[in-house]
Amino acid sequence: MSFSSIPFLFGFMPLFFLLYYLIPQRGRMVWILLGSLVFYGWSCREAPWQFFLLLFLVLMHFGLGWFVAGRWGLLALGLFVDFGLLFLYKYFAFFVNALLSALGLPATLVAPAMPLGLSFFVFQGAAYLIDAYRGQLQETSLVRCGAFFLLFPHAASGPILRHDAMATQLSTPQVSLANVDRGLREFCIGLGLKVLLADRVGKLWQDAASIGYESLSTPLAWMALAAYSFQLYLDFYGYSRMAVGLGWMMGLELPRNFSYPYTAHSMTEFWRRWHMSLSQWFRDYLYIPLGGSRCGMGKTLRNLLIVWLTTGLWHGANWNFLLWGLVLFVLLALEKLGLRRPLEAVPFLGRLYMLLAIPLTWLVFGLSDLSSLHTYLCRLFAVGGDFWGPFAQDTWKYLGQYGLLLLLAALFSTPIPRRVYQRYAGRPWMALLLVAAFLFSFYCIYRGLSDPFLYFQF
Amino acid sequence: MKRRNKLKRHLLFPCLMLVTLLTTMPVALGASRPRTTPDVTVEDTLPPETETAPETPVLPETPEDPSVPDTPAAPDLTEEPDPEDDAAQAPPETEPLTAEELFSTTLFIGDSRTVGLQEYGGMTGATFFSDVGMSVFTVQDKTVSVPGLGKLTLEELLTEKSFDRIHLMLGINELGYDMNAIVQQYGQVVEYIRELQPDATLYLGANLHVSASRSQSDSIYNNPRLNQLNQQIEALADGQQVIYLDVNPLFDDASGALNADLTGDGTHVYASAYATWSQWLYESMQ
Repeated sequence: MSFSSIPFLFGFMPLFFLLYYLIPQRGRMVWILLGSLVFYGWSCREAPWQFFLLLFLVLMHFGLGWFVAGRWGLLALGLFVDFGLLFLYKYFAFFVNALLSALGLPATLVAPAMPLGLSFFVFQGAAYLIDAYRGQLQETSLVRCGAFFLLFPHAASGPILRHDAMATQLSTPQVSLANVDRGLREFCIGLGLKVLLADRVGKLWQDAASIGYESLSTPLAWMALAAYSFQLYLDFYGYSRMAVGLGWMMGLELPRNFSYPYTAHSMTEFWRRWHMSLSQWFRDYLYIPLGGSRCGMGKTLRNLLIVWLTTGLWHGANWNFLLWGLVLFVLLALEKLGLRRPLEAVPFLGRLYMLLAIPLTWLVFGLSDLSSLHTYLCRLFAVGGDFWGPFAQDTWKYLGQYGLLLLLAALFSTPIPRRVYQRYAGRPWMALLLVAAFLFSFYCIYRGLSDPFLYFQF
Repeated sequence: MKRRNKLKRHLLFPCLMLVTLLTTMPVALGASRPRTTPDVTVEDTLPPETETAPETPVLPETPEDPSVPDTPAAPDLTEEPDPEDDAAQAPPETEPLTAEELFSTTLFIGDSRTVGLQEYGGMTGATFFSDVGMSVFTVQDKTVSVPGLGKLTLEELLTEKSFDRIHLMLGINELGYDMNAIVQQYGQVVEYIRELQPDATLYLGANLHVSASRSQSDSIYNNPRLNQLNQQIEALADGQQVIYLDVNPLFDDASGALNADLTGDGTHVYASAYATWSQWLYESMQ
């Protein structure tokens, strides 16, 4: 169930919270678990066995968590199940196809449909087991464990939760009118960012794909790539704000996932601001256990390489994700070796560097075949001298359609709107503005439903 | 007192949202009711005007436009061949026109595919009356910005300028509605154009197929329905004044669907394919 869908907004959300606020405090954790089970159940309704798989995983983690302290065998077992399942669902088909291709055989294996948010679940589960192994975790309540893993605000795309941050909260959520107020506001903000900005600006990237990358003019190629970069950020950021908002409405403090990554001056800084719960996971459970940066530059670089290749692979099972991870590693390694100093010292230089590094790395992330990547790069840098492409006015056409959206997307990638919001949050007109954002988002979602024939405008 | 104020402050937005939710809920829940297939929904009703969906932005009522004949059943195109016109339409015995010459007296009316032809087909000199989302139900009312002539309706364009050839390609945007209603309206549009420009040769373009993957997964935009519509459009042609052109063999794969290598979204060909298309049009419209 997507947060920006009618069933969630008008079905699940009102029903869940209506009862949540009526139930006494001691029943709330159970209701969180029940609601989350319904949420998962609905999302898996086409493949019910996925639901039971998730239940099994919760039980397994709870059970192993009891006994795993100091016992690396049990830890290995748990991690094997976790990552084994992830591998089976996400990567098995890719690797087998690669092998088949190498042997000259037809590579047509199809990956099975993955349970909702499995990538996030597995990482959260692995963190849980590792924390328990280290003796840092004491989970005695199955209900709380279930709520921790299945918490519906973070079901689809994280943030990856840490048990120590969530345990007390889940037992005693801080439900108050103030929290409901700010949670609802945050939810509307996230919804607006996703539906009104991300989804709409993202259409330019889709348009570029329909045109065919070889026929884009150079300015249009850059515009479309910018649109894609904004869509990626605003969609994920909007979702994360919705998750945080839902958490506040429940009286829970979910961790923030983003801190204005597009304002960073270096890739190193970028990854401390982008998808923070993931990069923190990699830091705490892979990088530091490998030795981090404490064993000399050679080992540091090796550790960085391992972490970034795995990060790339986590995002998707394809060669371009590995390449993306590799490119990120190269940039981060260069920065570690000294590039970072001038970038931080001269902000303009840092900004210019990131203005190129961000979209170009997203390009590798976004295009799954290398020939498309090559074509697109040629268009970006007008290789062959053809700057304007076959349709010389395409820049103006799409600037007219998307120029404002691109500007707004750029604006909302900065802290400026948030500062304005915080300054005027208490004003009645701000409340009305948020309601307007909700209504407008609803309208956009609704238009996708009302006349299916009309939605597709050819 | 302070606490009450604080409470009041935090009450405003949740209350506003509750009210908003309650007022929009009937609309939302109405929209998410499962819809019946298009043929069933519209079959018993008159075309467009009684569509049950609350939002029917572009569906006009049965046209009262005086230029459209009152008997919209199968348009009688066979009743009029003018001997003079026949001679003008006979295959030229002189040398064929260059692309420039041919297209400079040609009008293209259509939807986003025609927009694609306009932008990437390289048919300099041709006139285009096309827009994304154009359908037989909107083509007579819509105002389109025509390069060199400004914002015009189709009627204004056809009265202001005369053309030797008019290429009409519509059908996919209205594919969700009742097939008979579409064909009926299509016939009306053909009549409408013929009345305003009786000397022009009218080319009816078959609707482009969609890719196999789209066709298999879409209950509306699929090739069987497109073929059904195209057949009915072909029936409107007489081979002399009104000619049916089918570009699909140029872009189809072996199964009769749009070749997956030629499309990014399953519905439009890549920009690079429009040059081939315009070359084919040039040859077909000689």
